[in-house]
Amino acid sequence: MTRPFEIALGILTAIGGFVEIGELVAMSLIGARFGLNLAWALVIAVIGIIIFAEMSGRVAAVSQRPVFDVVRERLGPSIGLVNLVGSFVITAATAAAEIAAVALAIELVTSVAYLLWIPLVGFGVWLVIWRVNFKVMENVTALLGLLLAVVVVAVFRMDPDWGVLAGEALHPSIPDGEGGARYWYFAIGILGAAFMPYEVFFFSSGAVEEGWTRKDLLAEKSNAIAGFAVGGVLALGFMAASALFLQPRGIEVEHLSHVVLPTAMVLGKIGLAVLLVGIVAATFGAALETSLSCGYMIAQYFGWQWGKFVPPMDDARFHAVTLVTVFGASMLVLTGIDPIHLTEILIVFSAIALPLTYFPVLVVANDPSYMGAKTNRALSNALGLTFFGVLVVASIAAIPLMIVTKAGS
Amino acid sequence: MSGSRARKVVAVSLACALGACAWQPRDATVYAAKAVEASEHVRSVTQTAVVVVSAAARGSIAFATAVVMMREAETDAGSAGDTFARFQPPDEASMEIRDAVVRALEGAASAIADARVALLSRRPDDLHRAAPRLQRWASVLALMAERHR
Repeated sequence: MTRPFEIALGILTAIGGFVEIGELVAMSLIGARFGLNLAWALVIAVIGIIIFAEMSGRVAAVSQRPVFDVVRERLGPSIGLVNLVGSFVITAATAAAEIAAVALAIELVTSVAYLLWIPLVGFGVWLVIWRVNFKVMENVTALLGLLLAVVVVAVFRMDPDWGVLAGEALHPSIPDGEGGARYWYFAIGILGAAFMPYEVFFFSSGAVEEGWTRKDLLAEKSNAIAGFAVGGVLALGFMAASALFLQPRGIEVEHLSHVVLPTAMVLGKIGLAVLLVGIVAATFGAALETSLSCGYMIAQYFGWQWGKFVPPMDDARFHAVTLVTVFGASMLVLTGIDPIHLTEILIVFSAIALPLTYFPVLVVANDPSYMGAKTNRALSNALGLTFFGVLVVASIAAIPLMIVTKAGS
Repeated sequence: MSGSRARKVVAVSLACALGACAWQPRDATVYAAKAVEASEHVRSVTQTAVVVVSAAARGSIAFATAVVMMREAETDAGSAGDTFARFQPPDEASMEIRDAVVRALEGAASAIADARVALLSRRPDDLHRAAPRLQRWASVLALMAERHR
């Protein structure tokens, strides 16, 4: 594979891999309630995830050590364990939400109740993790996930008044009927959706799986910057589609069907089919990533052999954790828990757990004994510290705002 | 059974009994807020049904997708109505609110159920008739929410 093609493929997979159930639900829900008045929060979140994804990828490529390995070493076993438990619970529950999202999308095609699809989807996730090569798995799901771009086409087909949209995005205000507390609660929700803890674990562990070295740093930087930036445009597309179609009709987002409604109405059956394939690919890909991330974090914390690049016989405990995660996540969904409400809660708890995940990344990226010449420069540090401050404030404010707003209701 | 153990059993039983009771609004303002919440929620559900039924009548939405959306709308409208009906009105004025809102919620739920039947039986004429009826109930619910806000 030629170098430019490899970089382009990496960027495309990063774009397709950015949007998953958290973004789909959060962006559509927020667009329907707040229009584009919270678009600024998405821009900040995308800048933040670019900074930290680049940093964690660089740490992994240079030190050949993924993030959780570093978390345990830097925070110590006790705080590392707290981080492990928090991150594992959130990531495993996210895996459940992703598996449910795949089943919900299939339900929209077949009209067969989504709970009946859960065992099949769970089995499919495990089978792919067990049998399929890491690169193939990542590239196929992420490239098909690019079909989500159909929502941007739908936004253009709605022929909106771009001046009004830009005005809302650039001069945000709190819409009537939505208090300040709810506005800030959902702003934190956007951060949580963009910054699910598993993303940094998967990005850095993936770098080790794919054998990145210092030579791959340009590709790594391009993936993080271009991939997440364009992925952010897709997320903005969902917010805009909801703002243009659902908000004027007073329709709230409570099901996955509400997420697809604007595109289905504007582009008809073909548009809906393309979007559903994109959703299945994106959420299936995220189900693989979250399940693998659970295996990565446990194995890395306890110092076990891990990774798909190792024959399963040699890292049986890693594969066992992954299998138990997929099974447990499927069982959680089968209890009948509402996957959309689960996602809404998860993105807020994800925001609460973020500083514990991102602090060690920032510390190690500044440590010359690990990073050598690739230690953070002044600009990276200034941006990283600023953004870390934002994460800490969001983390502290999340629970009080959740209580005051009754989880945004 | 010792005294302290008996007290523990009584305390746990009481806690379980209280936990099983639905929370009840204690004043009219809170009750009116519940009425607004239910009306707005079912209005949203009814508006979804309007969009889906109109698209189905034009043949511009996949049948399976429309069926799922209408099933969700029917379930949501029914459960929102049931939840609101369980709240005890705290005074006479709230009783009037209850009667009006429950009537509107039930009307909307019934219109959604009829529209779903029309969809399942693939009768375009019935679907064409269902959309304006649903729109009327959505307007009634919007009015309800506005009046009690």
